[in-house]
Amino acid sequence: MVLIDWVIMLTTLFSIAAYGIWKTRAINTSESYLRGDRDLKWWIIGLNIMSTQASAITFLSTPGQAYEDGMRFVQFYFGLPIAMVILSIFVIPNYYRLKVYTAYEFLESRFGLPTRVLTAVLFLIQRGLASGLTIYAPSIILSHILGWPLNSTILFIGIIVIVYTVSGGTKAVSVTQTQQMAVIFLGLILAAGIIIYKLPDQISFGDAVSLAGKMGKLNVVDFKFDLSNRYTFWSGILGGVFLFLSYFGADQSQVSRYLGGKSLTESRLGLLLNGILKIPLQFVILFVGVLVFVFYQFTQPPLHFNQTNVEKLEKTAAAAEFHGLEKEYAQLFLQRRHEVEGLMTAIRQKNPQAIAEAQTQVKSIQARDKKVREQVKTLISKNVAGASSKDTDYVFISYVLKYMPVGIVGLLLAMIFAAASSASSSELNALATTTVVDLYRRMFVKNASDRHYLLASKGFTIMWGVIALSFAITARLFDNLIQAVNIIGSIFYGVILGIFLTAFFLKKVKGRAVFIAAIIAESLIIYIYFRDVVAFLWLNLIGCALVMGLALLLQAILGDTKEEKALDNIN
Amino acid sequence: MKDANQSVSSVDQPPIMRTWTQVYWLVILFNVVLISLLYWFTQAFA
Repeated sequence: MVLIDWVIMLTTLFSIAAYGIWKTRAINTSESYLRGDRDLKWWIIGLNIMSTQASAITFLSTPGQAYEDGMRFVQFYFGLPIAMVILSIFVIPNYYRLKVYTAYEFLESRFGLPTRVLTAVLFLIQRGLASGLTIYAPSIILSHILGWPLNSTILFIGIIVIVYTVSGGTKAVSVTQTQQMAVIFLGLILAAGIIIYKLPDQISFGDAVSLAGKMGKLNVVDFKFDLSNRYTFWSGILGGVFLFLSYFGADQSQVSRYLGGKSLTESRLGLLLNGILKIPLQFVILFVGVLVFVFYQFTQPPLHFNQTNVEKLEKTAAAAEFHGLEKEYAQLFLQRRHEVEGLMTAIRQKNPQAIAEAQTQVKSIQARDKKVREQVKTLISKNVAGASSKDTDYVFISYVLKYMPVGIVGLLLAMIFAAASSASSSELNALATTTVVDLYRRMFVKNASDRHYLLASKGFTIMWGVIALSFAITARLFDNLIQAVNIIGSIFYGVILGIFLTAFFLKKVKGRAVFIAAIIAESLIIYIYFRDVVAFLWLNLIGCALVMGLALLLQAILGDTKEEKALDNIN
Repeated sequence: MKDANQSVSSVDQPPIMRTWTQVYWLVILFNVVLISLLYWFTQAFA
């Protein structure tokens, strides 16, 4: 990276943060701080929702995933538009009617205080842990790439985010996310355009698409019903709806975004905009990875994309073996390029037999290619202490640094840092809002002045920021951190969703039944997890089903309490 | 469900189309067409 890239990257990041602070300098009430001024237009809400969901990992990992595995990951989002419609019909009107600050506040009106507090605490545990990972995961990649110490990278992202989130609360998150999303869109369009421009002269855009298709990378939609296949049309539609209902309807980091809307109409349209743009956006991100794949059919790719691992490996006794593999890989690349050119000619001639023969040849070399790359990964695992041999997360960023023009590199790095900041600021803001509204103000300090709650909100934002940073800094001490956080998420998310779905769809179920059901379901989920009966991703669905089933059963057995009957009469 | 829609229907009109139901169908239809195009894309270049 040269000076101009540093200037562009740092100017973009600091100016967005400064703009957020300046724009929200007049905020002096807890309502403005926690809910914004509730003046957002639909397109800003839509951008904020997309920005919250798109973390830095989206732009670092997803193109690499397409490079390795093709575009089938896009199916994961097929259930999202349906979830947006369901939320617009059933959920947002209820939140608006009750003028809630948080999703959990709604649960008190439906089930009583214990269920509200239980759900808020489950959210705080789950999201509190995840907020550390939101900073840690991109930091580990960016620290390798930029040559910065890991802790400095974590602090760089974390401190910028904490400063503007503490300063302006929900409004600052919204203002900065709009700018960050603009940088992200601009970066993506430029990246796709430049990668197409960088393709060899003899390869047109149409050739690149045809070639990617014949090499199995354009596997966008798969209608086969196969439970063992993680990404199919059916898993996206069936599993995705539940996952996104839970994330967008019950996770305060998203709920905050659309509750800041000027009206119910604006909030609904914001969510629906996400339902229209999300699949195309993911398609473009994955397609960028496919274009990088096509580029590397004609230009030799690195044997291992994480250069830091390579440098460390070269200092070990395995260096000679690595260099041997490098020579083998270079020869394989020349053979593969020859076969790929043959495939390209066959495609242009529209000769099915020649295409099939060339595909067989290319696949055979790809298999040998893969074997060599796996051997390098094994060498790294055995010889470089503490190194992760997975390098797909480095495919896109290493391409950017090596082949993108001066200036664009700075902008694309700003895009990745902007994505990290936007996701992280939403989380810190949501954690602080939930802590103040659902616990502190509701249970501990009920009648203080507004200034007290404003200061408490800022204090809790700092507290969660420090927790997230501490977790991110110590994260490397835990071997399977990402998996651990995903497991914790799966243990809690299903139960939270079950409580919300019961609230919206099982009108006969009351607070006592759902509270006991949630406690039993959470205990059973933890038991199932420790007995290792099913893969942890299924815990979401099981937890949700358990809460709803048990709540119905308990309601039938226990009936209503006196208070619940009285509440029914009032309503 | 009914309560929620009733409570907002008088002030909450979609800026495009006549009813929210039509807007929801538009979103679903858009995605059906999009996924169909993506399926065609998969088949055409496989």
